[in-house]
Amino acid sequence: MSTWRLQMKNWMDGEKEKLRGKTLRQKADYILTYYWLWILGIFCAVAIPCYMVRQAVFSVKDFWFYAVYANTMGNGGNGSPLWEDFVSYAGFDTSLKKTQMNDSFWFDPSVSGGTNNSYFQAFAALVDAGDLDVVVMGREGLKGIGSSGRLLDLRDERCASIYGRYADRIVFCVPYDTEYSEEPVPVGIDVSDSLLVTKYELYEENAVLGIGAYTKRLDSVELFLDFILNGDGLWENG
Amino acid sequence: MGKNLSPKERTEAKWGLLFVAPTMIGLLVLNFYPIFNTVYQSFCKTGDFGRGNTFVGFANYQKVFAAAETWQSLWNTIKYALIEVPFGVIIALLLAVLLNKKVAGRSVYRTIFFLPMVCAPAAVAMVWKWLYNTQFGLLNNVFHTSVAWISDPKVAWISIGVIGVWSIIGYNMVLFIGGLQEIPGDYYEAASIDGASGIRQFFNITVPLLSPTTFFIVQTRIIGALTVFDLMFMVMDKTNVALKNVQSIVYLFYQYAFTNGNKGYGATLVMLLLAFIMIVTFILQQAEKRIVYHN
Amino acid sequence: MKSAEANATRNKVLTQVVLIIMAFIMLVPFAWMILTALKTNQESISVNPFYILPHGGWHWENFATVWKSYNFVILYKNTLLMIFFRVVCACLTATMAGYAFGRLKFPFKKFLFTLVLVQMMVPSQIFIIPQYLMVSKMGMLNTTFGLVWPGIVTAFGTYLLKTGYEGLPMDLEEAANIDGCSVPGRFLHIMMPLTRSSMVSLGIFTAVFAFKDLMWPMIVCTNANTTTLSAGLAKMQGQYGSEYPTMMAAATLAVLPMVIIYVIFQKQFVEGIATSGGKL
Repeated sequence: MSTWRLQMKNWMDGEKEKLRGKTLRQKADYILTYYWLWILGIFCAVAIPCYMVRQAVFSVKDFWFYAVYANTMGNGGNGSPLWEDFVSYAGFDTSLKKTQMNDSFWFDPSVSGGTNNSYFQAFAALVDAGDLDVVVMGREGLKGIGSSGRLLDLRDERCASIYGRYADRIVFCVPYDTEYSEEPVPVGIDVSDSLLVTKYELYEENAVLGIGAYTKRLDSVELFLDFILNGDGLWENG
Repeated sequence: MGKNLSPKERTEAKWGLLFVAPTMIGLLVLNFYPIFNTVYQSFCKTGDFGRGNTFVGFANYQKVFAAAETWQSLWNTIKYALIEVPFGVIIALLLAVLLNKKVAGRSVYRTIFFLPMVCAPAAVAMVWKWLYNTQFGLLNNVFHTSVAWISDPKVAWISIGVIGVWSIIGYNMVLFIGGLQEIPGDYYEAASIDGASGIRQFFNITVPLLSPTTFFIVQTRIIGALTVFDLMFMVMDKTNVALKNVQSIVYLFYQYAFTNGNKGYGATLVMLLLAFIMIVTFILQQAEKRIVYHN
Repeated sequence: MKSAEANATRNKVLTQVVLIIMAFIMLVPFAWMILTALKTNQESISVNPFYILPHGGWHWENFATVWKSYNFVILYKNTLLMIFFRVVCACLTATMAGYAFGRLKFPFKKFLFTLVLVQMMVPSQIFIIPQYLMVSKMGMLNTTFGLVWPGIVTAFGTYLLKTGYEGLPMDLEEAANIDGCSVPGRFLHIMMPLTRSSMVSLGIFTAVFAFKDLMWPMIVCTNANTTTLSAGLAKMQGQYGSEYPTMMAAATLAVLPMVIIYVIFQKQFVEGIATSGGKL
């Protein structure tokens, strides 16, 4: 260790010697030419971890709710009327957790090659990462996603109440994976008569809602279903 | 660290490790954690309908090895690489050498050859589909043929290979120009004075001095060609009858892991591909010592 | 003597012919993109091969439509910021690692370099989900840093610069070594300036790949004011999915800055080592 210290001392002395008798500008020039990489490197080594720690500690990370509206021409993103209304209906405090709605996905699992695009890859990543709660799209498309197993089987005990309440709206799909089930599996809830179609005009024909296979926020999903299917009446009363 | 290192070697080792540290830590976090995850997944039946992973041992491997489709697509991938790598490298080298001389308008040419790299993939796919269209396509109209360029299993793999070559030329060329810039000009001057012709200069100076760059391009392009995906993704769809004879192993991986949601099986395909590329790379690394000229 | 001159002329003409043919082949999709952007929707879907130019007038208003419906200034700004940070990070880490792999002896060198190669061998799709989870768990969704995150190190760049450093003559450094120049000193003042052209090509590639990447910005930056060009135009592609002219006008507007950047950097690239290499 002492040799290290000796080397450092020698180096410091040498540099001091070189800087002696120079003007401030010359000193700055010298340091910049010989040490710019070090300065940049040390800056990065300090700034990046600081930034990451700051973000990890202080930023809003968790979601109240994450919804994807696929293949829509309408406006359903963050800050849209739909978003505003749902947040105030559910009473979510968006400074504590985020409510995310995303309307820029375009893929169609019901046609051949319809999933050969980046949108579908991004969507699959969202589902598999467990962030996605709800996806809404046309009936055939949703069945396609369902077949790949990316939607929650509604018979799952965690969403028993949803399954019970909306039993008359269930949409079934046939899984690709015949080992899981050879019978159709309930994966979607038909919401063609909901506010998404009537009030916010995201869809023209049919709309079916599916629940992400790895969601952890089924209570939010239930709230959302309440909102889009019965929300209007409550609005007027309240 | 070894005990019989001189102090100089010891400081060199210290600096070496320090210099690679940022890259290695980054790769470990960003890439190797996902790779280990994939290795683990290949032993699982991954969860569908919210069921979660179940460990199945080597079941996926058995299925992958038993499927004829796997070997067919591995062979397709090799065929594709056999077109893309040699043609892509040779044409690009030729262009780079031409553009490294004082040619009228060379910066214009350089920009033009670079354009395909930034062109929107949708535009590229559109143009090629139009060129290859059986009824209205330019190729069939000009040559008065009626070849189904991308749906006839006999020619489709070549058609796809041609798109591959086309889209990689600009990329290889940029790398070759970089390599050519690093050859000191005095070598050529000396050769000119000795009266060596352009072709002799090319083989005696350019080829050996450029060999590290060439090796680099060949190696990265082999890896790139064996993991080819985007091209087929854009041009081929599932109803194409030639798909079976064209789809690469990554395309197959995508179909299983993304479209069908069978991630365990997909991960196993990735493992097979990884093993194959590692063998190819190992052979290449051995060959490097003989082929590449180091000054 | 005369035949030598004739030879030179013939060579020049031949070169030009080859270059013009190749340039034409390479230009086709780009020209197609711009021409489609100027057609009407009806014209654009006609597949008649001889129907290339717009017939019923040139529709420049397609560009205006696209420009108005998007806040391009913000999209350009986000994209340039992401590209800038990715290029800086990639060049910085890759040049250091490339120098070490190409020039220094240190323990586990072979093994570590194999890891670098392995990264390039696996399809990039397997990285998305874990990387997304990292960014999500660190609360960096919708930030520039989140966009930059997967690009802070580069295996390809490390390999590229390793090749660059290996190609330099050995005696260069040995002289400095005898003079007692330290490792970082040698690296910064002798070796690094000589690999400028490799670094510029790495910069160009990093920029192009970052620019073309659609999937990562789509899942990481979902807000309209934090996203990049490619992902920002995603919405448009859906809206105008069947209207190729609008789509192609958007694509042209998106590509232009990249072309301009390349033209500017090309000078650097061409003059890179040609000048400093002369001193060897």
